[in-house]
Amino acid sequence: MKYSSLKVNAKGKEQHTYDAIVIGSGISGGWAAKELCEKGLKTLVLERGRMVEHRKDYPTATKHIWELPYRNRLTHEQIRENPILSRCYAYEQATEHFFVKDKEHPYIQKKPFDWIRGYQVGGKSLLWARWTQRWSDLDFEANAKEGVAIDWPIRYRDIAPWYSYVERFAGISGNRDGLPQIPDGEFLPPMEMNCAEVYFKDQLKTHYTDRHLVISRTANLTRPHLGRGPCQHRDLCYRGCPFGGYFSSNSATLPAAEKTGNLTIRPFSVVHSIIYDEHTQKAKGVRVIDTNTKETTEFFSKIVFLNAATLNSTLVLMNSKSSRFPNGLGNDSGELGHNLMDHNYNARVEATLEGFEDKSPFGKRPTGTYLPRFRNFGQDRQSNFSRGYAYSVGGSRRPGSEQGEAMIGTELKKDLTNLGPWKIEMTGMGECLPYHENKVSLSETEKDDWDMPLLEIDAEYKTNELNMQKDMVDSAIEMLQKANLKDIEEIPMNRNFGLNIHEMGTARMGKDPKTSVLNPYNQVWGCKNVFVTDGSCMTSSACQNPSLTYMAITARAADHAIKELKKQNL
Amino acid sequence: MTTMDRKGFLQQLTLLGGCTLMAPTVLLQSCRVEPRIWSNLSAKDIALLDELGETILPKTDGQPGAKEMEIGKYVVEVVTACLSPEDRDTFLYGLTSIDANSIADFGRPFEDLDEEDRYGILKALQDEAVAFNEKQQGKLEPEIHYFSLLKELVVTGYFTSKTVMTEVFDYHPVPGKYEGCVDFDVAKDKPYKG
Ligand SMILES: Cc1cc2nc3c(=O)[nH]c(=O)nc-3n(C[C@H](O)[C@H](O)[C@H](O)COP(=O)(O)OP(=O)(O)OC[C@H]3O[C@@H](n4cnc5c(N)ncnc54)[C@H](O)[C@@H]3O)c2cc1C
Ligand code: SF4
Repeated sequence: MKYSSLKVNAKGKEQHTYDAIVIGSGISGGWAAKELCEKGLKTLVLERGRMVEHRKDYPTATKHIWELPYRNRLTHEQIRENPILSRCYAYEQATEHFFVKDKEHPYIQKKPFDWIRGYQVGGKSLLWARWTQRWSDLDFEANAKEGVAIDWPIRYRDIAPWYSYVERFAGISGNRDGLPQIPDGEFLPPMEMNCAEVYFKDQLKTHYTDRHLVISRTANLTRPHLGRGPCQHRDLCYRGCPFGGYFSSNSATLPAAEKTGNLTIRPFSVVHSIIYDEHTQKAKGVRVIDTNTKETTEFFSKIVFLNAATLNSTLVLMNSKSSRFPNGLGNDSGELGHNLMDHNYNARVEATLEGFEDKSPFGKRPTGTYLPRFRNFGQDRQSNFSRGYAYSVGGSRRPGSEQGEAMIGTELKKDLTNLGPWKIEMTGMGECLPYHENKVSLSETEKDDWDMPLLEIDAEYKTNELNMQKDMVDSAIEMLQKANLKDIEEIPMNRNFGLNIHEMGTARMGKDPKTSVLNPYNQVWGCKNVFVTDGSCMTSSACQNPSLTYMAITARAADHAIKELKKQNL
Repeated sequence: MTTMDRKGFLQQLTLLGGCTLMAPTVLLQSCRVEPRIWSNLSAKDIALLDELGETILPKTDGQPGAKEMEIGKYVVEVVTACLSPEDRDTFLYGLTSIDANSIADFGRPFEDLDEEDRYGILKALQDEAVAFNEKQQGKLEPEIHYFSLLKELVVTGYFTSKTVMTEVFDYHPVPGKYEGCVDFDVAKDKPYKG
């Protein structure tokens, strides 16, 4: 490895030594920091982006739409400069400061891949949609039952107490629905379903035994919780919440970590690589490049938690080369970088519901309803795809009708100032299988401004995902027809791999160091004091939104790390 | 735009489409009033855009019209900053066409027409746009009619303006709660906006 071009500042080693280092301050890094600090470890959080302080650094949070540039519409310049980012629905004038711009952090697409990132203290926890269904053994057992990839090294019973643990702190609103494919958790009161959703739920119950519509479990606080919230139902969460109404690192985990007095956060610090010590066969610290000065500094610790989000964590591992690990830290198996997954959301159907003209919603609910998996589950067996999907379902009633499209003048105005009909839209959320060929690797020729090789991403949906996609559309249409909705319309979707922002895999957990990168407690095989607990550790993708599972896995791994430290095993 | 059945407009369009660059002289010869040709938008277009906006969303009892919401200023800003060059060209071509249309049929630019004639011109364009959009369905790269662009801008600008949001609607930016099904009387209740 060459570092000749970089000035290494190894002065003051003691000053640069902590009990624990956490790389990244997003959803998983925030949890690692909280857990480790609360257990008394002096913890350094290294974050490549700038500081974002809760409340203070949410400049648009309370702006009315008429106060935003171009009433919140992106400029052509923004779209032209950011073809990838502008495909993300949450990118707008009010949120643009929380997203990585295409040109700032390039990567190489072997096949189309939209990599949506938030580089700042808080990471994407500021930007997420907060849907938090638990996974179940339907998911954890799937690989083993089907002989796909490798088996998860954990089962629901291993993670269930940690789901409860993180839910109690994060604050998850939801209803106890008693559905085994999305086990119930520790819920704050659920948000309400609206007329269209209640109607559709009842219709599904009449026509099917296996289709259940529930309010999505969501990390928004429906009542005051640990000094945060409650949520005011404005649905402006992506801007940061002045009420602390939703879970983010900035509002929840980092303040808790800070309260212990054990936390140091160092923004503008890109972790370049993890330093492996050949004698102890452990990591002794990390190399950091200051984004402002480009100066390299080393920091040392007993344990390292790698939480830079799936692809960046894998990049850091790949870039941590030593004579023991010439192909990247922990890559004895050759699986590092492989088995990249996302979800497939390319199925959307909209329809109109007649009736309930004398009813309207009030307020803006920052979530939707959820129709959990029913395919290849219970009695259902599909012949042309394995696994399954869920739907996000939204009932709504807004001003304006279809007829308005042909109107102008007073007629149009009347149409647009009155409520139109109720609508229901359904978006399928399909599981993706872990394929060895879907992978990332380091560019051999191109580097970024911090001397890190660019990531090459090479992944695609395959037959299973595409067959499932067709069924997601067909089943949505069938359900809406049976429920007697009108004007049922498929909205063609062509979201690239990655755009569902549930990138997972590339450093999977397993039971066997020959076929996996991480052990059952997320320790790197062959370098046990490095824990990787973000989406890179996932062995399969399920069809639920994954971040709650990252939180639970992180808290579980931190607990294990503390116990192992106490036993002097690390 | 081929569905246009009004003779005067069609003639002007042919002129415009065929020779935009030399149009001023050609048009000068054929018209008493000189139609304008747009290659960009600026503050001097606000008055015209206000009147176009007002025709699409006019003042009614108790509700302001688009002009009062300074729609012209908004349209100038958004066309300049937010539309793609292709859409901007379509939009500018549209203004040029509307002007030519108005002068051909009435001998006066759009701003100088009475309400009824303004409505007549835009209603014809609305019908034309509906037919045009129908033909685009299923096309790989559908084109957009300039009137649809204009209407979208007017509607968006109007419905995101402060007075409309706070007075025409039941505006609660911090509602404090979500209720899925509250009673709503079409005759007397204002729709909720947040
Ligand atoms: C619009 C949107 C909607 C979403 N909706 C949902 C949802 O409803 N439910 C759900 O479960 N998930 C959702 N997600 C995904 C969710 O945000 C991510 O899964 C989650 O944030 C991942 O947590 P993380 O800790 O792995 O990474 P992040 O939250 O991305 O944090 C990673 C941090 O590491 C930092 N970093 C990266 N590289 C380095 C380095 N080399 N050195 C130092 N620091 C580094 C980054 O700057 C960042 O701050 C959504 C995401 C978006 C953008
Ligand atoms: S919807 Fe709730 S959590 Fe989201 S920004 Fe508004 S108040 Fe905050």
